[in-house]
Formats: sequence, structure tokens, C-alpha cells
Amino acid sequence: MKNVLKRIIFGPKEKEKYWWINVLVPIIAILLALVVGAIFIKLTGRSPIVAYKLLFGTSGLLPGPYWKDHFAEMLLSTSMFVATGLSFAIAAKAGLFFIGAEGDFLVGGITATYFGYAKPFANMPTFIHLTIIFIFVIIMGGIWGAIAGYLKVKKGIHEVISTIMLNWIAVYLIEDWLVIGPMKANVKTGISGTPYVSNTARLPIILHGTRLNISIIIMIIVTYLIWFLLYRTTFGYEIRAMGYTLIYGMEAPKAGGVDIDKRMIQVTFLAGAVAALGGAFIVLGILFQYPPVFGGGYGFDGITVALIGQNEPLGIFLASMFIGGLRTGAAAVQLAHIPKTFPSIIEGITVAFIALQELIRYWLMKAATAKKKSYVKIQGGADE
Amino acid sequence: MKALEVKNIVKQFPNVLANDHISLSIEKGEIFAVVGENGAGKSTLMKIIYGLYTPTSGEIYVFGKKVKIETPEDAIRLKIGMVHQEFMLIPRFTVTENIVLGDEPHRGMIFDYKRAVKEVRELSERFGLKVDPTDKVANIPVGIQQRVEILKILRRGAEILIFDEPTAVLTPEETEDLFKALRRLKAEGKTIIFISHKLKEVMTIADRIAVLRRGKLQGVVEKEKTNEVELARMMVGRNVVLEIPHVEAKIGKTVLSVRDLTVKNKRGIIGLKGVSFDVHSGEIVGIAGVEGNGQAELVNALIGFTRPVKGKIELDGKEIKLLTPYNLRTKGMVYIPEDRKRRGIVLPFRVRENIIMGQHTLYPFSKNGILNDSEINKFATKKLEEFDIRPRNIHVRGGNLSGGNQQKLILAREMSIEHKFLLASQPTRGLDIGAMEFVYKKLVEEKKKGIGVLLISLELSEIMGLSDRILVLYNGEIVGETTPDKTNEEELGLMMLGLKRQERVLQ
Amino acid sequence: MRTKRVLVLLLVAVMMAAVFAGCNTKQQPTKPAEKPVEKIKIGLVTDVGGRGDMSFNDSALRGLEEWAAKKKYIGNGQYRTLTDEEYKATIPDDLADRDIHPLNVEPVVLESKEKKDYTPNITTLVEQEHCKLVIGVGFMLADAIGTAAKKYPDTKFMLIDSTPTVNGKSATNLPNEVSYLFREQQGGFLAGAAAGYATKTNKIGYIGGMKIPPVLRYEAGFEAGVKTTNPNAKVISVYTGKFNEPALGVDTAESEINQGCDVLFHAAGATGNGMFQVICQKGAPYWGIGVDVDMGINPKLCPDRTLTCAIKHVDYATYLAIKSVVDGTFKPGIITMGIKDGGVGYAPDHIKDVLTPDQIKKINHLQQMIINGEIQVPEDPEKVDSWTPPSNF
Repeated sequence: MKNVLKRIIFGPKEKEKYWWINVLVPIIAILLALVVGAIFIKLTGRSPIVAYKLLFGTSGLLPGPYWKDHFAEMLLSTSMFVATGLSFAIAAKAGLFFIGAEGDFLVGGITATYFGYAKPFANMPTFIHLTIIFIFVIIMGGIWGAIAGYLKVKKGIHEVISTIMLNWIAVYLIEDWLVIGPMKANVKTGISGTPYVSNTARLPIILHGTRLNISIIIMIIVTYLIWFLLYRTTFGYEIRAMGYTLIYGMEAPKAGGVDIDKRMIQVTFLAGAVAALGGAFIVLGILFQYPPVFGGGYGFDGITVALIGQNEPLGIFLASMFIGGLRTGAAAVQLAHIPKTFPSIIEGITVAFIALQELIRYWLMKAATAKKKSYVKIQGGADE
Repeated sequence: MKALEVKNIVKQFPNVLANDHISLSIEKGEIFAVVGENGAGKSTLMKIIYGLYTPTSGEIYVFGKKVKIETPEDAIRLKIGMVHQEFMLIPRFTVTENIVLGDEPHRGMIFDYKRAVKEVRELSERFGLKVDPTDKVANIPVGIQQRVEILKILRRGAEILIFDEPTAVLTPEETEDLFKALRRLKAEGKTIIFISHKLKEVMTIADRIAVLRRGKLQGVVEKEKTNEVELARMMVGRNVVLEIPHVEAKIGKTVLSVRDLTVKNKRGIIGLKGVSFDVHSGEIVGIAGVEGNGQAELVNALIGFTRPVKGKIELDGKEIKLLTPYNLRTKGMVYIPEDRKRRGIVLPFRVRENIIMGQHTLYPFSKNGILNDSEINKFATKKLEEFDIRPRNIHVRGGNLSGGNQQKLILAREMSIEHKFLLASQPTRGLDIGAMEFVYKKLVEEKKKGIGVLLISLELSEIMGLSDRILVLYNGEIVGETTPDKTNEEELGLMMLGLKRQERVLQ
Repeated sequence: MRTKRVLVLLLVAVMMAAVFAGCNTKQQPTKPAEKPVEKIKIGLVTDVGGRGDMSFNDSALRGLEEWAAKKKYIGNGQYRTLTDEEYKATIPDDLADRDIHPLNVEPVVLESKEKKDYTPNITTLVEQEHCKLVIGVGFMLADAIGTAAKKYPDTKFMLIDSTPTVNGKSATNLPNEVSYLFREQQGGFLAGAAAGYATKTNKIGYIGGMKIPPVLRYEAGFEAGVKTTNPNAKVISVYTGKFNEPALGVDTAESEINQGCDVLFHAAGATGNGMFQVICQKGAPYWGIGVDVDMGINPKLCPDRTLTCAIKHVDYATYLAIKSVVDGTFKPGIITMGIKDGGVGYAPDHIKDVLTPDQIKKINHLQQMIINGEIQVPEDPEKVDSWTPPSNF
């Protein structure tokens, strides 16, 4: 089991002495956050145990009443968080602080909507229709993401600036023009926002009686592909080398012939495309239209899960399940008269502890080495 | 009266003895220069005096009192100030704010900016260091920024001022102004320690000059009783560390041809001025010169980091039009960088990952963009053995290797790529003697294999021992071409310092 | 160290198990209600505006929590029971003669954090809480309510301000769903009539949110009202396309004032708060007219310069729907409430300070004419031009 996990997380046969610390850091951060959350609940005069029982009982992470529904909802959220989380992580691996997932998500959503209801496609078989939609979603999201890479390479504009601007441009372009202009549904039908996508553009349900659709399967595959890309291909090799060196102004990959500029644009394309998948999922699997007001926030949730998941694909998947579970359980805590913001607070505290991960790592390392020393001593004593 | 005295200072770094029993005594009110090549130990000594390093052994006396300087704060308290090569100013603050930072005049809790401006103005007039106290530092030229640094130190009451290569960043006019200011400070009774490797400047400004070489004090001379040639000889010395077996060069066809190459440096100033030379297969061409005379620009152009202003580069008889690292590498160039940690290896990458950098897209390491782990591991294991890289573990991270092993890793990697031309830029920098010997051996092997090698080095002994031909780079130009048997280190030293020129004709 | 490793493996294993095991788990059978609940559970799902929006959601919550359940929400999910005096004070003057009394119900409120939460929230209320009636507030829940009503035929549903859709198609014939619509044009008409009297410049501004039917009805009624009392006045009508951007409301209001308008009316949700901000800054002689709830009593807006408000009694509609479920008179379909049924109206606010008693009398007369069916206020702004205003009032 240990070796299997190691292979999944670190690739085969690589010897890392304290590899488990990397796994333990986010888990400890989460546990600490739960402790702080418990104190918070206690201070408002309620029982933390009841709160957590409700929160996790209905989160879909643990079996309980109505597990099927919660489980489905949890995985639905998971697939979207994975999309934006991977988007952030891919770019982070290449040394970019890419926060454009929010905009790419919306671009993916509107693209999926358009190709979901547009006439020439509307009557194709589901499989072909969805394939066409996803091709366009990937292209449009990718281009939107790659603008940031292009600006960085050609004009030297920092990606944080350009992605924030692109996020807003996406919001205004879509919500203030497309959705209330060219893509507006007929007012007479009583629908606000865009028209609904055709039946052939809806993601097939995989768990009967719930909304759980193939998006989760797609994201399991995408997660694996991203991992493969990062750790098994020359492309991943190059972008990881960039990520390790660029922010320190080091030039080893460049000297080794890596075309940094080209890779930078490719990475942002990929990050944009993956985030756009999330937008397509919410349209094709949940809302079936682009609503007049989207709300959003998935792009920034992506940063949260990427932080908790330590930028590793599997880590992001598990972190997305955790955050997805919290969001799913959020409704139930309201029934126990605990504010719906409580799960968000846990999320926030978790991220705060993740920010302290170097400290946690240091403690763990100290604990590990201290134990080891005493172990050696005992052995030495026995030898004498 | 002695302002500063150091006795038997020793500083041992893990692999280098940076200061070897250095004793100096500096009089109050004199300008005392410390000269030496890069790595001779000047900066280390100054950092010890300023409290940035703790000496391994030795004593320091300031104004006759024995002191212990453990931090810069201690140094400042003892009235020692230092002007670093890189200024420590906040660009968005005004001159005044920068000068008073850390010791602001205040009225109650409030920063009294007006009083600060007045103080700065008085200070600047008193020492003849003209600045406008209300200018933003970002908007003033480098020469003035340096004055701000000096004023900052003077305001803290410094009596002993250390200048670490202060002219490196200045234009000739600014240098002239600085010297005027230094003389004024001297007249005010301040003691000045001036670090440089530019002999002309030292001869202009200093009263006495100490020469360091390889961590040892070579002597202290008075300006009137010496000249640049003598100083150069003391600086360069005649000290061949290693015997390098001489192998006769079998010169073949031209593998690298550089014509009229002109390159700008990072600050946008022309650093390499119309350089032309050839490297043939089977020979080692050494480029001698003091650092900062165009080596970096030459390297950056040859590896495709900087696009030349003009000139052309031919590899193996073909002109490379688009100079990118990838194009140059695929046309037969490999490169041993001067700074391994920055350009040589990716520190967090494992040995097995580092060793394929540059050939990771080639078969058998990858096919259709997918890495072949077992081939990579096989190759890495083989190379660890072949180049004696320790530990013999392909999963160790590059950053955890010692300097020597990092360099061996780079050699192993670069030499296993198919190539015609090897660019070795200061390949032994910071290495211990054992690793140096290994590098020399490998370079000679390359030569035997018929590779053309361009060796850029600051170590004259290395250039003399390895090269078949020597080019001397001074101030961005090639000022001489010779062979080791037609010259000696003394002559090279003079050329390197711009005191001797040799006309050369290019075939 | 060992234990730590075990801990890690255990945690990861649980998470993994959750992924793989989930696929073939059967849903637990729905527990039958163990004993008859004393109080009838009424569920309510807010839209993303949530509690505290000072508009739609709060109005519906008042209908459920204060009027039907006689409870006051005191924060952090806690309620306290209202005293009789307090209960009386919650009922506005224009509904004073309606029959509003506490019912035997228990409110279960779920707020929605994002659009995707609507469906799971409704599911929770139906399956876990066994609510008899589930109320969806606002047009954003049209699809969620429609779909749920089809899925759970044994539960009653109420949708406020919109008719349900299923998969984007109108679904009005569900046997367990009732939609409450309002004749906004009637409220808008009375506000317009007041505005027509109040204007000095003969230019009146209208700020709309998105072009959805209720907002269009407000516009139509308002324009018709102005046309009735002041045929010379012109209504400058602007749609912002947004319900949630006060800054946009500020821009629009300023531009309308620059065009000469001195009375402004908005039906634009939070965007309209920007209009009140401008009115408050400019002060006299400008007047603002609020929408949906009595904004003239809200100190956070601009009570001093609020002329009147076109009111939509979402609270009363909510109460009526609950009552119909409690006393067993529930009828599916669409119920459209006008002035006559207490569904819409207008708030007096500052009307007395601006209009002459004669004008007020005329407005009240117009109101009576609407109740009597003597005036048919147009629903479509495009039809206002061809509509003939009454002359005998």
C-alpha cells in the first residue's frame, strides 16, 4: 500500500526519505482548522460535535443518511474544483502565479452554452455533440488563458496583473454583453439569461436519481493526464525545470535549450483549457444555461484546493473532495441553526494553516528526526 | 595613530582558505587601497572588518583598542562604515529619507522631515558631497546614489570608510567626482579603505597599497615607491598550482568562427566590441582577462542568451542566423557554465533529471515526448560511475551535491551530448584542487577527441597550462593573441590590465 | 512516526474508499415519519441574495417566519417568539384589514450560496425535512422548483414571481405547484400617477434592471400612470441589465438627472440603491420612488427623499400560500395578485408633503377604479402609447 501510494504521488522508485511529510502537512492543516472551527462553534454556545456530525454526515465524504445524494453533490463540486485547481497547479509548476481560472471558467461556461443550444449542433447524437462542445471549450478557454502567457512573453506583463484583468474582461464581456445581448433568450418564454442547451448537450448521469454526471469521470481522467504530463513527458520535465528556477532568476533550463517563451504560452493555454472544463461542467451538468448572474468564485476556490493539494494532481483531487464535501454539508448546518458561513470559515482557516506549512513541516521533520535519534540510541544501547 | 589594525586574520571556508594570516595596519587619515584579483580575498577581509563574517582566527584593533566585530551594528558603533557595490537604498524614498532611515529625527512620535532635510543639507555641504535632499532616489544617477550611501554612513559618525570596488558602477566623470570627494574626506581626517582591481585608479588615489593573492598578503607598498607593472606582477604572481600534461594539438577544421561580434551587457552598454576569432577542432583556445572585460557578454552571445548588436557566429562551418540556445545546441555547441547553480543545474531536480537536461528530447531518453525512465536511469547510473559523481545515487537532488560533484554532473551531461565545440566558462570556479584536476583532465580528453574548446578563465595558470592559443580580452576587445610558449604570465598580466597591447592579424 | 504513517494511510484510505464505494451504494430507504409532527414544516429556499437583502427574500421570509410562524429571526439560526404587540406591528397599514394570524407551522429556511445549491437545498427540504410546502423565492429558482415539483408529486411547491420551467420550457400545469405572480403594473401605475403630479420639469426617470416580465410590467404601469395624471410629462426609461450593481445605478441616475429628470423610479433591485444614493446627495428638489417593499422606512436608503414606493406584497402572497396548505385549500396553477387582493399597492411615505389633498384624493380614486376594474393598466411598455388614459377621475 505504501509503495502504491508513493508511486502515485511521486512516481516510481524514487527515494524520498520523509515523503510522508508532504502528505501529512495538508492533513494536519485541515485537522488544526477543524480544532479552531470547533472552538469557534463552542464560543457561539453550541456543540462542536453536533456541528461536525452534521457537516460531515451530510458532506458526502462519510456514509450517513441520504449519503447517495450528498455523495453525488460532493463529487459534482469536486469536478469543478479539480478543474480550476489543476489550472492553478499546472501554471504554478511552471513558476507562474496564474489566477485566471475564474475568467477561463466563465469563458468555458459561455462557450459550452453557445455550442449547446446553437442550431447546427442541437440535433446531433449526444456523444458527438458533447465532443464538439468540449473541443470548442478547450480551444476558447485555452486561448483566453494563453493571452496572459503571450502578454508575459512579449510585453513582460506580470501574469498576476494580466489574469486579474482578463477575469474582469471575461465577466463584463459575457455578463454585460453576450448574456443580455446576442445570446439572450426570448423574453416571452419567461427565461432570463441564455436559452437552455439542447438535451443532447447534457452530461449523461452516472448515478441514477442524482445529478452526478460524467464530469467526475472526465476529471479523474484529466487528473491522471495532467499527472502524466507533468511527470512522464518532456513537456512536464521542461515546465517543472522552469518552475524550479524562473522565480529565482536562474537560467539552467534556458541554457539547456528549453524554449521558455513557447512553454510559457503553452502552459497558460493548458491552464486556461482545464479551467474552462469546469465552466462547461456547470453549464452542461447543472444549470443547462448561462444564467444572467453567475456568481462564480470557482476560479479562486481553485487556488484554495491547489494550496491544500500541494499543487500535486492527486492532492488536488483529494482537496477538491474535501472542499466539495464542506460545501455540500453547508446546507445541513443551517438546519442545526449554525450559520451557513461556518464551512467557509473552516476552509479559510485550513488555507491559513496551509500558509504556515513550512512551520508544520519543520515540526514534523523535527519530530521525525528526534524519534529516529532516540531509536538509534536505544539500538546502540542494546548492542553494548 | 593607527585607525585600524588587523593581526593574523584567517578565514577558512569549507573548500577555500580565503584569508591566510593577513596582518595590516592602517593609519588615521590615509587612503589605503587593497588590490587583488577576483577571489584573492579582498572582499572577505572587508566583510570580516564590517562584521558580516566572523574570522576563523585573528584579532582586530580599532583606534588602538582590541575589538570583536560580530555584526555590522558592532562595526557602526565602532565608527566603521561600508559602501557596498550594490547600494542599499529604497528607490521610492527621497534622498533624505534614505539617509536618515533607521535613525530618524523626530518630534515626539512624529518623523520630523524638515529637520531631517536640514541635517542632510548641512552634512552634504560639510563634506562637499552635493545632493538634493528632496529628490527621489529612483530619479538620480548612480554617482549621486553613491554619494547618498556615503552620506548615510557619515551621518552615523563613521571615521573609517570602506569602499568595495566603488568605481565599478561609475562613469569616468563620476569616478573623478568620487575621487575629489575621497580627498575631501581625507582632509576631514577620515580613514578610507579602497578596494579595487583597477591599478590605474589605485595609483591615482591611494597613499599606500596592499596586494592580496590567493588569500595571502603579498606586501604593502607606498604609492611613490611603486608602479603599475610591479603591482600587476604582485597581483598575478607566478604560481602554477597544477601540472597539466601537455598534449600536442592536432588542429583540424574550424568549428567556431566569430566575426565582428558586438554585444551589449545587461545595462545596455556595449560590453564586447567587434571581436573576431576562430576555434579549430582539436585545440583549446584560452581567453584570459580580468573579470568584467567582456567575458560575460561573449558567453551570453555564444550560448544564445543575448542577441548580438552585430557580427556573426558560425558553428561547424554554418552560420547560425537565429541565435537561440536550442539552435546553438542542436548545431553542436555544449556549454560548461561559470555559475553552476544558476546556469548549470536545476537545484531541486534529481541527478537523473539533471543529467538529461538538454538531451531530454532525444532518443532514447524520450520518444514522442514521453520520457523513458528506465533508459534515463540506466544512463544516469552509467554516468555517475564514469565521472565518479558521489553519492552514487541517481535520486539525490542536484542541490544536495557538493560543488565538485555538481560540476562533474555538468561535465558528464554536456560531454555526452554530441558536439563539435565546447564552451568552458570558468569551469573550475570555486572548486577544490581535486575537482580542478578532474576538469583539466576532461578538457584535455575533449581536445584529444578532436573537439574545439574555448576556455574562458580568470586563472592565468589555468590558461597557461591548458591552452594551445591564448587570446587576451581587455575592455571588450581582444588586445593580444599568443601561445603559452611565446609568453609568460607577467606579460599576460600586463595585457590583461590594459598596460600592453599586441597587434594581431586574423587569418 | 509509525503511528503517523498509519494515520496518513488511514485517512487517505477513507477518502479513496469514499470515491470508489460510492458508485454502488444504494440509497437508504426514506424513513417514514415516526410520529405525526405537531407543526407543519414549511421549507423556503432563498435565492443567492439570501437573508438580509432588504427586498424579495426578506419579504418572503417575513410572510413565513413572522406572519405564519409568529417568530422573529435573531441571527445565527435562532428564533424567538413574537409578542402579540410585536406581531401586530409587523403588519403594514394597507394589509391591516386582511386576515393575518399565526398558523401552526415551523419554518425551515435554507439559504443558497450559489446557483448550483438550489436543487440540493430543495431536495434536502423535501427528503430530509419532509416539508409539506417548499417555497422558492424569485425567478432564479424557476427551473429548480419546476423540476422538483415533477420529481416529488407528494410535496406542494410555491414559486414567487415566476412560473416554473422544466428544462427551459414552461411547465404551468403541475398539479402540486402554485405560482404567485403580481400585477406590478397596478402598483407602478399609482406610483406613476404620483410622479406625474410631483414633477416640476415634466421629465421623469425610470431605471430598470433586467428586462424580465415583472420589471417590464412595472415600467408599463408607471408610464401609464404618468400619462394619466400629467400627459405632458416624458418618461426617460433606461435598463441597466443588472440587479446587483449599485454603481451602475449611480451612473444611470446621474445621467437621467442631467437630462432634466426630477423624479426617479427604479425597479432594479440593488442597482436601484445607487439611485437613492444620488437622490440623497443631491437632496431637494429631487425625489426617488422605491420598489417592491416600502423603502421609505429604510434608514439605509434615503427616507427623506422617498416620494412613494410601488409595493409588491411577496410577504402576503407567501402567507396566503402557507395558509392554503395548512387549511387544505391548496390549488395549483398561477395566482395573480393585484391591488384588489392585497398583492400590490403603494406606500404613502412623503406623498402628503408634495401633493395637494386634491391630488391625493384623485390617486385614491384611481386606485378604487383599478379595484373596480374600470381601468385596465397595460402590461407591456410598448402598448402604453396606444393606451387611452382615463379622464373621469
